[in-house]
Amino acid sequence: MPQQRTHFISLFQMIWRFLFLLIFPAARGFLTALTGGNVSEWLDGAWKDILIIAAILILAFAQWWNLRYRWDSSGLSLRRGVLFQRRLFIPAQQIITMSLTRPFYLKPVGGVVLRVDTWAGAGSTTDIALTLPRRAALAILANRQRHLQQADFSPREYHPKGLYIACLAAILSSSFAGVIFFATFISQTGSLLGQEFADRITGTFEQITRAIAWGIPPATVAVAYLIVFGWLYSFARNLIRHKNFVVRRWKHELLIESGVITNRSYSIRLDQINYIDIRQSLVTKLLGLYSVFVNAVGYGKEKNDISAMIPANPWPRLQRHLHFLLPEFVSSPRQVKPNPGSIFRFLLDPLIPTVSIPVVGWVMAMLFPSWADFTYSIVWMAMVPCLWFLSVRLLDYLSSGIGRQGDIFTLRYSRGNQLHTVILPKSRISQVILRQSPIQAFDRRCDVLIDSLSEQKTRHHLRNLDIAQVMELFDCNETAVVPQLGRHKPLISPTEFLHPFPHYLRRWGPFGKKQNKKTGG
Amino acid sequence: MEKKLLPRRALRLWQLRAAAATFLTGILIAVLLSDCVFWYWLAMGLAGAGFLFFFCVYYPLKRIKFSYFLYCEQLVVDCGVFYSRRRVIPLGNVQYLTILRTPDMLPFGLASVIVHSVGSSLYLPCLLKEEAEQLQQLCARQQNCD
Repeated sequence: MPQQRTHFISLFQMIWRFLFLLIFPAARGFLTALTGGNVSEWLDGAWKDILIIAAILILAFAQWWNLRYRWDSSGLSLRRGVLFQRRLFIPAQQIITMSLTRPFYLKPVGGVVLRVDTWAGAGSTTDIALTLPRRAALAILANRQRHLQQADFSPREYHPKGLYIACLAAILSSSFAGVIFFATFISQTGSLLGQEFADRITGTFEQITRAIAWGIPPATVAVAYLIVFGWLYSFARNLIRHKNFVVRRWKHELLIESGVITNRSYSIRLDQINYIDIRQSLVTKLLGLYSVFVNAVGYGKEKNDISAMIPANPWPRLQRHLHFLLPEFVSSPRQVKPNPGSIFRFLLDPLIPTVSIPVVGWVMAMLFPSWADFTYSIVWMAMVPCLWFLSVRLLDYLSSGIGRQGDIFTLRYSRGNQLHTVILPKSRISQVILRQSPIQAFDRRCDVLIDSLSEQKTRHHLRNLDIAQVMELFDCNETAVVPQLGRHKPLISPTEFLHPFPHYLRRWGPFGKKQNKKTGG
Repeated sequence: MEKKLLPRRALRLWQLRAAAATFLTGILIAVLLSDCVFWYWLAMGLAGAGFLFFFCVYYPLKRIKFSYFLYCEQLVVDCGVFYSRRRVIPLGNVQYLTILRTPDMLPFGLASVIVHSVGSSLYLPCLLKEEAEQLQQLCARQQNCD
């Protein structure tokens, strides 16, 4: 296959890179005005500005002309640069995720953004992104798929229901993004459409807020509406992004497609999936719904990317779909879990704001009585996320733990407001850290921090688990090095405090107590 | 592989560093706060307390609690001072090792090792130079076996 050029629209992207050169014409005009020059004087030197604009166009064109790529079964080769030419080659086997994005503004000109990601490169940016003609990009993806698909494997396809897509959009939505959008929208309206228009929008918002305040301070209602509308905006965006969501499983490839306004396709190598993450928020926990996300290099990397694999589903159906699409990832029941006395370890973080906010609010109301109503309403609003967080941690306490089946670990824990069930193969563990605080030393517990293989640091944090059980589960209970010790002492000794880990070596089998009871042992 | 501990030299080096840092801090305090008697003595007292803490408590504990060994194709490191930590890195995912020697380590025959894995890294401070090189060779041998 001969070398080809990218889509002509990328010429405009090149122009964008050289736009900083316009600072010279702008500076010339500014200096002419400062020195008291008139329009005719400025026009006399206009040829310089035209030269600079021509330089921008020529530089951009030269860059575009020299940017060439070639794709064949061995991999992707790229040549770029005018004076300093660079050539790079990415072997096809090293490409983990290949994605095609077709934004609405490229559709009229038939452009598609092809992204290629490998283990190399920065964790936050794509290794290579090229804007190509649609046909060429589809041919590259089809060529890759031919190598990853095999005739003896019948492909599996999963189309989720619209209701489940809506649930996923609700899980992924956050008020924060929407609030930032609305704040930017209102603040920028004045500069774009005039101050009068901006004042009219603000005035209408104020009128609506006052009309439906129902006795609550209008400022509080305004904040509440901003949060609600922010969430709705975020929800609508996620819904559009995940519309037409389809997952196809081939022998060595997972193909995920979605989107209406912007269409996205992701081709992921199956043997390079790091882990799958089954997530629940508090609401979906109550509804009994679970969503599955995939962690692989290049998937879900950009801001607007898709990272889900199975939208919200009830547990039996989710297990069925997961077994259908990725039978390699099997979850296992909890074998190590926190002891009943460790509840405080889980609830301490949310309890601090839950207790302190009302106290601070009460003090503020005492100090500034005229602001008491407003202060109490803000306290009530602030209590909602605190109680939410408290509930999540309570559920985390009831469900967290580690299970192991063969070389597949199942980690159950919470991060922020979400409950995670991570199915992680042993080969994808980068580092395991058992961390014991001086308080945890008294009941021989530890926090487990697991770093999984990833371009960026990805850490899973499980709280307050039995240290001996964890050491046995992760094969780091060096029984061959140090002889096993007997039963635990009632209190820790100084030696145990200094060298805790060898002290926790003791025999342990998953569900050992139950088996012993059955056998009468 | 048997458990390796940090040599006594590592403790001496850390204590020497603490003494040097406290000495420099003392000079700075003398230059900047010599006119304010109260603040001068307060800063000097804090610097002295900090020195004693690091010299007598922190570094000895750090040395005593540090050990490492290879087990089941994993590098296991026990470390921490007040919090105890056991770090386990599967050798199959180790990409490369860096041996680091600062000028003050040279007379003590010490070297630090940084183990770089995909998505994480691990720092082993002030090992004996021979042990650091031995660790590097062991990891390289493990990589070749894989």
